[in-house]
Amino acid sequence: MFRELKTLLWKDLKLEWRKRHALNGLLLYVVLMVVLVYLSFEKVDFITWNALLWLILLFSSINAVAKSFLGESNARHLYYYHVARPQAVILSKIIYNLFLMLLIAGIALAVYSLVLGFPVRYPLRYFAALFLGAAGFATLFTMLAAMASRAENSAALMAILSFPLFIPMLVILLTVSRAGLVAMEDSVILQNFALLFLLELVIVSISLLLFPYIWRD
Amino acid sequence: MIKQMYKRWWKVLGALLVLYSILVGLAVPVGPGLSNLNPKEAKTGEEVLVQLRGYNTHFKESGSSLRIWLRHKDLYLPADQIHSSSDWHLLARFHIPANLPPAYRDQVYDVIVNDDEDGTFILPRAFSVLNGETSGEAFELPAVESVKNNDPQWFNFPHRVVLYETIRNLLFHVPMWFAMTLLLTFSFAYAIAYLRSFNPVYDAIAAATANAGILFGLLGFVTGALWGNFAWGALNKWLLQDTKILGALIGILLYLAYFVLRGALGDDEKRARISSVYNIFAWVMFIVFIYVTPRMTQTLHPGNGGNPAFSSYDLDSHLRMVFYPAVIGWILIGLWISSLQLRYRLLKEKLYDQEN
Repeated sequence: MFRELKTLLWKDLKLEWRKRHALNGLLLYVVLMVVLVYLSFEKVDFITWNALLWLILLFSSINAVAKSFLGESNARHLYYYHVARPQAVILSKIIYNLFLMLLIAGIALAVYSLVLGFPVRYPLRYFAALFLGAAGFATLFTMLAAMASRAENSAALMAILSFPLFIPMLVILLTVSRAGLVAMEDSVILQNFALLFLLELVIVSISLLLFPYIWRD
Repeated sequence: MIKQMYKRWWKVLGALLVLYSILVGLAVPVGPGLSNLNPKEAKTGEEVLVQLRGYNTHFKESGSSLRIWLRHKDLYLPADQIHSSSDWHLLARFHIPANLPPAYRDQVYDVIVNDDEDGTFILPRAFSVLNGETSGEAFELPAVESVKNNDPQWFNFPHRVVLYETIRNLLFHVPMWFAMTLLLTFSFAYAIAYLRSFNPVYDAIAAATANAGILFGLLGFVTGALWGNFAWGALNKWLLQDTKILGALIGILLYLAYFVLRGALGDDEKRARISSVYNIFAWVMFIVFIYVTPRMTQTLHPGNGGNPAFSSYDLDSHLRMVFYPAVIGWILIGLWISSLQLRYRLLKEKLYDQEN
């Protein structure tokens, strides 16, 4: 299992590196979003700052994750199905998307704070929230991308399937990341972080359980 | 006909319970209460004539048994003269003693009324006693006379400030929510059952119950909007700021997305498989949203964030007598709607198979 995971992950990373134009396009997308937000708002208070950052991350992550099952042909998927366990496939995709999301989040935050300021008072807490948020995007959207890739017109379907599922997580993320912006009791922060982490754990376990049902045709 | 009804006893039961809850829920009067008074304040040492307006009260009928107090903590100030011009209108004269101790001055008093017909009812924090004359005489708490009965002599729903007549919406709005949650849970259970057995009927059941669940979600949304418009003010002030309303909205959106997904997947077996997986995801996130996020954000609904829940406050024994039958009735109606949906889906599939 571990060996399969490592091979699949390495394959995904190598594939991404060889098709750098897709990654570059994604990063350009993030930067363009930030510029658009800057041009529309110019100046924001810290609550809006936080909300807008999560929205930018939401749209970029849907775009980033949606292609995780579309990059390769169905025949290739059939091949993986014969040589690897489905759990290894989904887990490798989730981990790979986590890397991708961390990269996107880092770049988005850098460009975003360059043009709209950086009102974060507790950077460590905020970065922790950002990390857990990136993990949330990766866990939730990987499975949805797998589902959407089974239908035609999957790009539009991906958005329709993700938004309602994402709202509960967005509410939690906004609360969690507020810990980086305003003073808050340690126990409350810990509770919120634990909640988000548990939710992600639940999503990963459901994904591992249910992925075998969706990936074979 | 009778035999048919006997065989489908649960449909008959559901229809009867819903009919009962609608008839009784709309016909039973709201209990006695005070809706307004004038003036709303007096100074110590003054004599004040207060005009009280009741709602569903029997002031004139009860005649001499009528008694009124102003209350703050352990102090009950009785009215020394009462005149009822009609069943709903009342004049009471209070003498506010000049020798009230400081603890009872500049305080907001409750107004309490008791009569034989209506029992005891309160308009909380309605009358202010302001600091006026003072006198050095020692103050003695007036003795509180005992009253004959505390409850109205007639069957009623509780009279609540803010809610008033809309309290009966509880019998329609809350069962919708219960039925929706239960139907969606059925849908989830059958999605799991489908993935375990790959029996296409289970998938059809999951779709049918989700469909009925959406319907009840919309009905709950509409009844809730009507209620909130009355109790909380204009719609745009609270609509998307309450997690329970958002929860209902998300439940509806999630399962609408479920049907979009079903529509986008042509092949029957694949459609059943993938939409079952989405169904499971949707239900888990729905439950997370209803049970977890209300602890993190604000809600106006009773039971969260400092608002008392029904069990302790709004749901008295008379309401319960209609509320529980209404819940069971609407759930049975929901199952009935789902069963019709299911039959329609199965017939459509059969027809499709015959054509091909």
